[in-house]
Amino acid sequence: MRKITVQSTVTGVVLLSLILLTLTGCSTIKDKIPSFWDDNQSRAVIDIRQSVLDLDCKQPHAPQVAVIKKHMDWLIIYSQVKDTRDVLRLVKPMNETVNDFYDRSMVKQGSEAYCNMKKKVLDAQSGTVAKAVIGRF
Amino acid sequence: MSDLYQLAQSDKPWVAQRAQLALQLQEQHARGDITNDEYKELLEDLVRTDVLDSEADDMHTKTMLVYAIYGLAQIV
Repeated sequence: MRKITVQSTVTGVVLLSLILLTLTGCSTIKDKIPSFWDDNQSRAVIDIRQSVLDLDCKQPHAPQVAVIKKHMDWLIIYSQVKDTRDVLRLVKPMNETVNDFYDRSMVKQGSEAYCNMKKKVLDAQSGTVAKAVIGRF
Repeated sequence: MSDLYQLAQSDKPWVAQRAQLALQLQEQHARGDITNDEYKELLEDLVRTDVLDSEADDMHTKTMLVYAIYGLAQIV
């Protein structure tokens, strides 16, 4: 009788450990699993890239950056709802670059040289993001 | 600075491109084409771009892994 109790306790502890491991491991595992092809995300990254390439630094910056920001926000909201964490991690640095540009442009137009450099950075970032998102299996 | 000039000649395109951007930034700041605030922000952007590249590499590696495993599953 006592042996059974010990065995039950051991089994219980092992099961509980497994459940806890599974539960606590869920978020970690989900962080590691790569996301797969998604039509909407693929479209969104091209919209972002196109709006970056269309940026004309001789024209007012704010309305143009607002378009880039809008496309970026759409991708982030969609990825949050779909819980594709790798895409969210991927676009986070670019989102910060866009937000800084947007905030500055809304207060006062930056210099043309600043805009040109920002465009070069965003060109590199959006190219990398587009290849990574569209290159998924 | 001399490090940046060396890196700008790197045979890895992304390294050369990043170093050239940093050099351009430095030159424009020295000429007064961009303000201190703008300069600081753009340097931060270069660091962010490196972080982004790292995430993209990670995604690419994982995609290749999934593809390889899927290939194995097809064989069985």
